[in-house]
Amino acid sequence: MSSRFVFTGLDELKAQLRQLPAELAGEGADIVQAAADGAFATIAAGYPSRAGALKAKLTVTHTRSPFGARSVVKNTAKEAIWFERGTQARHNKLGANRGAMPANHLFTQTIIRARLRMYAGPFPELLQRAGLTVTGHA
Amino acid sequence: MRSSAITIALINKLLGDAALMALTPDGVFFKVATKSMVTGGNCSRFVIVSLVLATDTPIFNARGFEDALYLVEARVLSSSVAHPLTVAHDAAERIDALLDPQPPAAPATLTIPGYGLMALAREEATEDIEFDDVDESIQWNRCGGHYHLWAAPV
Repeated sequence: MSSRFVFTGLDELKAQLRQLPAELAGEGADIVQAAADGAFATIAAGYPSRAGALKAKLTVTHTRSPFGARSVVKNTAKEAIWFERGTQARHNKLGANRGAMPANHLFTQTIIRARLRMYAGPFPELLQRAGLTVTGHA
Repeated sequence: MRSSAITIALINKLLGDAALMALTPDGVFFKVATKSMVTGGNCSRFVIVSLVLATDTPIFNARGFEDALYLVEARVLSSSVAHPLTVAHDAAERIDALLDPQPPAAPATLTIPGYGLMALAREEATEDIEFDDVDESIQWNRCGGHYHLWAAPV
């Protein structure tokens, strides 16, 4: 007696698996871009209006490839680090005594929240729609 | 549940360390030194603890644990001591030994009323010198790190 084990639909499965990274990357890039744009808007709105350089030098850039996406929110103003971590030095360029400024973690808080929101909702939903199982996500 | 107990416990742990207090005798402060130059005090060597972000993780319809990220930084005024940068580095090293001791040392402990410490680890080291825009002789040597703390209500 002989036995046979037959897989049916393997070719179709392989074809689908080949398509999966590109499809996921496309939708995933939209999620990443939306999160970064949202974070950018929140940070820009949170900077004090008198601190023009903080807003002017805040940027967001997006890059996409067939297999991934990257968005970078960056602030190149030299004051950005001191706004984020607070200051001790006491004078500004006009000579005004500004005293110590407590840290305002606006940038870090906003970026972490944006990342957490991505991991909590859109990314698991995307993977589940593609038929994958997601466990233990944030 | 008083979440601020976590921050207070962290500050008290640092305040209770004689070696750290020898390096930063003005103390440990939340966000801003209370006896700073702006208030006429002479605070020149101290540690700042600042809460960056705190999030809750629910488990079974209750708060499972709290997750807090802190900036913990020694700040040393350049004119306050002979080798301010070295003092800032030494203080940061001591902070790290208290909050995230590396093997073979045992993990950090922290007594938090109403909570049990799950983990405490440094995520990123920080190091900077802050110059006054007008008087460049005023320099603050700043050294420390971002510390991530997880605590569960008990």
